[in-house]
Amino acid sequence: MSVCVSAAAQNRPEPQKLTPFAEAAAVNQIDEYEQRLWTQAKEADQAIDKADLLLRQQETDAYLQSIADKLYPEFTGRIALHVFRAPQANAFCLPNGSIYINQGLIARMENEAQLASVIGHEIAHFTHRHSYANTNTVKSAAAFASVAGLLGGGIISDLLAISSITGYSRELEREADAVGFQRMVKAGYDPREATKVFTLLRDEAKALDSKEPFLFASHPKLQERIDNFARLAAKYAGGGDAGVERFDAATLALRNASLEMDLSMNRQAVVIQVLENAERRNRFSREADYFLGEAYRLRGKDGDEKLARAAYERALAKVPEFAPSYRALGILAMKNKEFGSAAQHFEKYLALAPTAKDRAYVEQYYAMVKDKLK
Amino acid sequence: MRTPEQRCGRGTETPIRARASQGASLRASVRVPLALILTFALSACAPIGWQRYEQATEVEHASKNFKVTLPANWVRYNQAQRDVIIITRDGLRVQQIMAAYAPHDKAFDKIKKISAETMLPAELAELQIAEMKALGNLSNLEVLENTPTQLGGLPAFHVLTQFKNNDGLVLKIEMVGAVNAKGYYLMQYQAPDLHFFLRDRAAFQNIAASFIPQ
Repeated sequence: MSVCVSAAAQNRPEPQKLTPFAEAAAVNQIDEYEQRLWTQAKEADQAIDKADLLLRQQETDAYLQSIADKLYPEFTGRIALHVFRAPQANAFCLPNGSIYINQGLIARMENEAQLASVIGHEIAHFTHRHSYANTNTVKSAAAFASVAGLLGGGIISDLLAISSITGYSRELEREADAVGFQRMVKAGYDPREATKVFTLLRDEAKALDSKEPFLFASHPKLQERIDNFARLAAKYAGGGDAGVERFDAATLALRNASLEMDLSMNRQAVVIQVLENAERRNRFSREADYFLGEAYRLRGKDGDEKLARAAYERALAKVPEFAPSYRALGILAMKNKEFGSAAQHFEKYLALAPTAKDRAYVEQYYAMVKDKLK
Repeated sequence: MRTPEQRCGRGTETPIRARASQGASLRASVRVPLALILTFALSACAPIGWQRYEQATEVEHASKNFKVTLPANWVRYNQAQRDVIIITRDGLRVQQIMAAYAPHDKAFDKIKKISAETMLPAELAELQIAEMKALGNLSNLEVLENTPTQLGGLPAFHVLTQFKNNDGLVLKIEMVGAVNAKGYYLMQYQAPDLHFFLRDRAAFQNIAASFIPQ
């Protein structure tokens, strides 16, 4: 694959002479070198699909697609948006117009305008043919080859490696920022939200002391991009649509699933970062307090048990029929030798969750605490 | 400090007509799946070959913390440091059974978590699943079963998972794990779901049943 990319790179037109695609039909006029990239991208699409790495929530996919169509109406039907089942805050674009937004990134956004700024940026990489322009640099050729070669390697690692981090030069990232921003404004979104995406992700990475790549983390320097966006946004003081309600409704299932994914992958710090803010927590489902409690329990620092218990109790008060809160409180009580309270909670859990996968564990705990009470 | 011979040394065994064989090309070919699924760090030492057991053989882990009985006609993949006992019958891509031990402070290296003697089996299972997901970047790992069981008389978890690899092949991984004062023990079986998983599941269950902590 890398040989193929290199060959394309040697004979391709100068990147500065590449004309952006003006509309969907223009993509039929690509040369053979670009066609090779597209073929490799299609293979990558197929590999991702085959490895079951897409979230496939019809409602969410349709929502993302509607934002893309709103931003780039002339490309309706040509650009495909997908939710990539990965917890990291990232997104990437393949040369053929396949855009992958990580589940984790969508879950971190606060409104539709923020999501639109990400989608607008990624689509600009496609319409302005940045993958093709990029193939003349050794770094990017290697990065793309790693994607194209993903059939034999660690698929997620390879994809993360090119997702807006190693893929494009400073100039191309700047261009994608500018184009995406213009589209966002034209579509009526509040441009100030674009700046917030950067600061949100930067602050989160800082708070989590995260070393993992996240969208917009590299070229050009993050602060420089924040400053650029702030300047651009200042020109549009009139504001615009943030789309909070639409975003909340369309992504609720995804955001809840994302909490579970983060917890199951030992990413409790992310869950705490997102849910500790009560206002933000209220925009998740009513069980969000339970997930926050789980995150404290998994973190296990001094004082976390108390925080977890309080969170579970809040969840119980809000959603008394939500069984996992009872299990969690039962385990805490059992560990603290409060066997009476533990028995009550386990009993309630078993009554509410007759088909739970972990029922056998809880039955065992229940028998244990009942034994202690004898 | 241990000598290279000690570091790469073999555990106490009672092999019957055990025979080592060299298989460089096969060893090379198994690195990818091993890297994907093994949940304990493998030795940095080079592998030292294959060893066939023509009769059921009781082997002791290099740490001397447990023994298991390996079935006849299976082949052991001899990792130099023996942190992990790995066996297969037809090749590691077809099926592999692993038995491993780690001290508490090394139990879940990838996610930087430790185990403790007081942990509930369900808590161990939760960490084991997170460790697997982190090791293989397996965001598509699905937990099919998670139930309590016993391992050598210790309260243990039993977890059955599956995921699709890059070729779209569904792989199943079954695990049984437990802790005691000495550390964390894990038995693991992996095979493609199609044709193979059910075929050798009984062998895994027999090995797990033979587990004796020491």
